[in-house]
Amino acid sequence: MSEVLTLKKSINITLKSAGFLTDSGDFVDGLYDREKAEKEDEVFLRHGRILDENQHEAKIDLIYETPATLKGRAGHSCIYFKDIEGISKEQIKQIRKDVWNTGRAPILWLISPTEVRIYDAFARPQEEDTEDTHILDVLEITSEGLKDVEQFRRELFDTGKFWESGVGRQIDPNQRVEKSLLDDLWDTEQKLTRGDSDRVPVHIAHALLGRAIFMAYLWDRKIITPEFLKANFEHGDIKDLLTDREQLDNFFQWLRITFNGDLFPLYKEDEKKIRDDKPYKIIRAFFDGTVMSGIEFDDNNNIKGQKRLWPYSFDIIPIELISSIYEMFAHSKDPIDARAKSIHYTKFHLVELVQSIAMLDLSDDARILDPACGSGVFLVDAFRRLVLKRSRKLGRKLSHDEILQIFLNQIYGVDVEPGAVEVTAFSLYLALLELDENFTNPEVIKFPKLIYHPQWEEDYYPPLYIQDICNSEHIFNRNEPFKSLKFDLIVGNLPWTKLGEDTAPCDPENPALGKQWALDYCKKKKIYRNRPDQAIMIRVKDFAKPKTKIAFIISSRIFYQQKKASDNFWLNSFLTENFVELVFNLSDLSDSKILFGDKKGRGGSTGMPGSVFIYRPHAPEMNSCITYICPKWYSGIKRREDIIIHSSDIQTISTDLLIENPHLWKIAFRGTQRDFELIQKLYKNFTLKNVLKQIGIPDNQYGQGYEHGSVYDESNFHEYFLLPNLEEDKNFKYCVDSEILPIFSYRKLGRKRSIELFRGPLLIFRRSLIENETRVAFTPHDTIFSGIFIGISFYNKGEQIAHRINAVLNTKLGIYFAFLLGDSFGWHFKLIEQKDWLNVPLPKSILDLEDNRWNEVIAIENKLCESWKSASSSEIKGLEDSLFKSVCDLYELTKEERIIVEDMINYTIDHFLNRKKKKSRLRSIRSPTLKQLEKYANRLCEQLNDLLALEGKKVIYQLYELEDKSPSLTLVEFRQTSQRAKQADEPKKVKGIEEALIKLSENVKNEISGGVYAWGHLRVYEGERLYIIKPSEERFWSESSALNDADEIIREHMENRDGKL
Amino acid sequence: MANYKQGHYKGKPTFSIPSAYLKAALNLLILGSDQLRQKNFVKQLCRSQKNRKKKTLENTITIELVNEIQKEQETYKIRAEPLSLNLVHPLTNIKYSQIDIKFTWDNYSPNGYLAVEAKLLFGEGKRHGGLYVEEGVLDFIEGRYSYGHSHGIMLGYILSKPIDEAIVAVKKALEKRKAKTNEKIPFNKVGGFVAHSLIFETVHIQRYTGTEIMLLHLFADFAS
Repeated sequence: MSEVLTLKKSINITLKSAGFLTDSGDFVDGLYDREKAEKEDEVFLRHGRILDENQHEAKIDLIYETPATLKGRAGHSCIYFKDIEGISKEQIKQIRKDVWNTGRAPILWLISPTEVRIYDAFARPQEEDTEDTHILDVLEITSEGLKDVEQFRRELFDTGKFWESGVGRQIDPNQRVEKSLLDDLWDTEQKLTRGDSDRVPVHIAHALLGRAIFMAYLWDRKIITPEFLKANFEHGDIKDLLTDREQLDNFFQWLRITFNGDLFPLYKEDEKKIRDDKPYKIIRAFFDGTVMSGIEFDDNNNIKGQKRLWPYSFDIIPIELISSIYEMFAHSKDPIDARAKSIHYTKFHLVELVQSIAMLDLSDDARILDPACGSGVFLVDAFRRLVLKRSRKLGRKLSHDEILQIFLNQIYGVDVEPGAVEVTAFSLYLALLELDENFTNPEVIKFPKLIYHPQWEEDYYPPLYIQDICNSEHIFNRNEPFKSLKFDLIVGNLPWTKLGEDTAPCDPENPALGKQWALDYCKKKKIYRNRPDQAIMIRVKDFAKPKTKIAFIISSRIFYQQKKASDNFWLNSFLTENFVELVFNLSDLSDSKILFGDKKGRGGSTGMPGSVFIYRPHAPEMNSCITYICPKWYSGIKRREDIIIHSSDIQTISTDLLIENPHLWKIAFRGTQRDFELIQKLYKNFTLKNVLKQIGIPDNQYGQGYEHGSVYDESNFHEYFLLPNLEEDKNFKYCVDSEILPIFSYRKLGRKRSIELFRGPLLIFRRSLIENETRVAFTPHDTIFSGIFIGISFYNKGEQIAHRINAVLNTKLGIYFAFLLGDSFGWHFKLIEQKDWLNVPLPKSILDLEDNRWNEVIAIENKLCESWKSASSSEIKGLEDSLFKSVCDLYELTKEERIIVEDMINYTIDHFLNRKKKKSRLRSIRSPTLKQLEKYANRLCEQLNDLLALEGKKVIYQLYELEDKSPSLTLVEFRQTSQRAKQADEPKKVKGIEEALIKLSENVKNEISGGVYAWGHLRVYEGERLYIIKPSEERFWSESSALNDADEIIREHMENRDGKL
Repeated sequence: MANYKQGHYKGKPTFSIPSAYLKAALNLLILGSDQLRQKNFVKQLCRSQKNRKKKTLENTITIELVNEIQKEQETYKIRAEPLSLNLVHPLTNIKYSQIDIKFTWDNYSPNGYLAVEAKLLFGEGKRHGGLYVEEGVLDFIEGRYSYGHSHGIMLGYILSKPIDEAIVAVKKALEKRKAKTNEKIPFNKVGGFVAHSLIFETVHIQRYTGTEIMLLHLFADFAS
């Protein structure tokens, strides 16, 4: 029987027990009430509305976000807290529905004096819901604390472990408000546009739905009231209005006048295409909550369908979500066309990520341009931020005129797609209505013109243009603020798809015969493969002053695809002319589909890796650095749907170093400084390409094999016949037995290669991995091979060298090099291409035939050639381990460098290749054992102690054994001491990480109480002690991690040296 | 430049790493110089270049010295690099000065190193004390490298006796230019920091940063 506590006390107990209060009773970082939220722009923008008193019972008392690692970036929303004393069961349902409509927090905690009810806040509300529906747990509050709180403690949210737990897995992000609304819109559009005689064209369907959503928004926001509707359109409710076509047309006419014709215009001929009332009935059914995918029509065109709750409250759904949903929806008009025009829907959290950084230091009077504005999702966000900034500066709410000034003079968009610009106008009008509380009387509302029309007078400078940003002759070039380069921020998600003569957009003012401005610009600027994103990166400089910040989402191929075109690496020339401040390389997240498109890949979703570039259009300063952030995939990313940036994902790299070493973009993306140092060391040796040149193998003797197809008939490749043919289905390593291969018999091919390529002796490289290994094999015989292979013919030249290369590249070093240096593997595809193989550095002595160290390597290679197919797996492993060791000796790798290579393969590459496998099979994310922690700690001490011995000191460590069987965090303590001190043998046993910290030091606990869990990876210095706290995953406690952590510790000390000896 | 990175640590790092690092660097320079002396490398080099118009003594000694250091650097697990490239800023054409030896703790940072500037010195004839200051010490003071650093190392390769004369030449040259070098503490001997008798220190204020930089002057006797 629980005691009845006062509500305040029960809230305190709840927060304290779950780790949301510090020892002194203060809020931890990330916990906000309204007062605290008001002080932080990012938090206020996200949650200000739901924390507002005006929301009455929907008002949330507290929110918790796991703090972000990156300055300026918002945290990751987790929990809404609300006290429910005196609240009825019906009200609980309403609160859950309202919270669902915010689309922000996945979890809702309702706190009463006796219990905490924890709800799944992403679950779509249903008619039959009770106060117990979608409840995840009910925890009892006693004066001792919150019972059974372990699975809801704060650190589980901070480390992401919650999402992997049984409770966390119950939360389905696909039921979020924006996904539900998108699905419903999609189903409604299908019903409107699919049918026989009575279907309406897609653009009309979109216009009708867009207007209807706008109408619903005005209704829910109480801008149009029953009285207004009744007085003007004879109906007191929007659902009734939808049944009366004549009045509905009148209403739409009112919308057109009020919004100056810019809100989803339909022309007379379009309206004629709506032949009957059926489309209106469909839209009404949608607003009635009918399950749209299942509706049917009777003979009188009446709709039959299952009803459910209409869950949407447009007064609560964030405006930015409505516009991004509509963008996605609008792109369904012609998905093929969308892809050709490289339109892809930007998920809102990516917009938020870019904007929070790009607008961090911008003043409230900044002018912002999106040169490929799509639905205006960036512009809407910018508008909201500018209004907030101005309001903060003035310390009061803005007047109607002040907001309108920002609306008309600070937000600009250009897009080649008329439909996109219309959606932008729609989104901006919604935002205006949201931000300007003076818009309450529909009788007097009159919105300004937003979109430029060619017939307009010259001196009107509208904010939106339907035009190609590359058009240098259009009037926008002569209009302000374009003309005087007055933009402070140029931002957006640029189109990526290469432009072709048949796909590049024409001038929208002359769509049939107009110029292809973007394509022409690409040609003029010699952009490799006419990539529009690169073209626009340059073009917008025409509207920028040196201080203008430019922030674009672009394709990641900028890092790797340009090198083929010529010796000039495009990115290098860009880096010398522009001051790149920050790059988010989001490539590792590309296949998780959390950046673009929706879960079904609709909306022109791209699987291509993307990145964000933030730069200024002037040459970099001397000694400038680029902040390079590479967030990684994590288990549960699809459920959590958020980009998590660990501190280890953030690196600061000298611009000059990146220019000198273009491969550093890849190395820093996948590896660490130690990998870079190792690669630099090995690049002093010959690469495979150098070796081939040295032994005189000409270009036509290496390359990819033939391709299937029907371009060439057999007369073009008659030399292939009677030779053995190697194809994809054959699995081999070290040696190909050409004698047992089938004879080549194809009569037609898509691509043929010179017969010189197939002359034995041959070294054949498979482009794809098998069993996560590289596959290279030697054959002495002439052998034809298909395009899945790359071959090098050593005909009459260097057969011994071929065996050496075979030995080297079949070791783990082969995959290590491909992963860190390859232009494909580790970026987009899991292929190792010819260029990647040719770039691999080989041991210094590769050409020295007198070097006896190779004898052992070749002996093992020969054994493996003979026995790889027949020997047991343990025998093979033994031989391969010996081969790896001998090859490492030839590369003269130190013991630390061997650790770096092995851990890269065991953790990073394994994590990359096996991410779709069950979590239990991923070694990288298993909890580290005490033995592993001991190895880690020993390695770290060894790295520091040789140095510290010069000062008569050393570092010893203390491990902690936590009673919690799978702790989310692991802690190791290091202490600098005299050289006489002894290393403790046994770990200390403590209950949990929190208790461990309390035991260690009260001071540390206070100092780090706010951040310790949030940061995930943290080093805390206190006196002679250092505490390292990281997630309990093996990859973070490996020996290579110890090496990297030791390097970091040295850096931290050297950057903090105070000048004394 | 905007700093988007928030620290990875809390508190103040207090291990004895900075002084140990400096000692390790000096020890490696001393050890490497001893190796070159034992191999008689410098004397042979001087002989081989005696009649050359354009001598490359300084850089050749430095490269060989770094080779020796790299053989031993594993002892302290710090890393030395020879003669970093003489970079030219792509648009402004401003030249970065070449750093003879860099002990690097952060490869990604343009500033994560301890710089060593090497200069030839002689105990007789033209002693090159002036060049030592003008083309060595002043590079630190004017921030052509070690911008904002608290320490730097000047390494004098003394190629002819008397050794003391070469050092006195440096001392005099520094005295003469103490205004130019923003000297705060004059040239004086450092005792007991590392096991080497020819270590001195000066303290200056860096021109643009206003920070104090201590220069350790290490002299390698290649004449005895």
